[in-house]
Amino acid sequence: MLVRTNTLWNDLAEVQNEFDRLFRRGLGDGVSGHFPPVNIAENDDAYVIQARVPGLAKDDIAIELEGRKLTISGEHKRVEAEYAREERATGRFERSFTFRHALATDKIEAVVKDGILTVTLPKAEEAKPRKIEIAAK
Amino acid sequence: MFGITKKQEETTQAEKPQVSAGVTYVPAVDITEGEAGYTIFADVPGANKDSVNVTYENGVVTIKAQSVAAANDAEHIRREFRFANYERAFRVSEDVDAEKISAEIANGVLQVTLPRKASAKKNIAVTVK
Repeated sequence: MLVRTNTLWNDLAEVQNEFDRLFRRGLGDGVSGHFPPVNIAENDDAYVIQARVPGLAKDDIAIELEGRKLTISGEHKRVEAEYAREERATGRFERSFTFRHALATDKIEAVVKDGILTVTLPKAEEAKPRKIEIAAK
Repeated sequence: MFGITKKQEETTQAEKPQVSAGVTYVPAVDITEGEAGYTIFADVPGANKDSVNVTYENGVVTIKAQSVAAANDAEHIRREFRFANYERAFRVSEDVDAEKISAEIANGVLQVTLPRKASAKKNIAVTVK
């Protein structure tokens, strides 16, 4: 593990990423405990990720795609105030997901509304399942 | 911005469709305190102005909200959260002016403002002659 002279939050994020790497073996194993929590749906045409990001708006979230790997990152800024109670998460976050199928990179759409981020990732045409007709002889 | 309804929650709740019956989260909150009063920030992602309800009764502020964001019905390969209802209650201190409690919601965060009574504000400057 890399040792960096970073802020506490970055260190925590680094530890979290490490856990991410240790415990995740591809999609679908149900490991949670990172920010943001996500649901991922899949059908023949697309993947749809929904992430729980209360308090974050469009400009607070960055989405990057590198091949089949999607990364969601950003920062939940802490407001300076006198806190009587502080339970909501703050700090930088980053999560990556690698998909089994090639994606139609030019058709990816992301929308954030009411604290829910929805990213729709259509599968590349060549990656979609197709029916093969059996020729009658 | 919406008003605070008093003692109306029974009827209001009954009229609302239950989006995910049976699942209720206790939302995470921050509470800040300043000279003007207190502010509660509650995480209620998926809820909007029409699906939240804030009530004040006998010194207790109760927030209730429902996720109205559409859950995806397709087959899931990962599921880490549910679209659920939220409910949490707070006993407020006596210096809060109940008539002036207000609330607003943005980006899935409900903000409830609880101003102090004018007479209860601290640090009143007194000019020494």
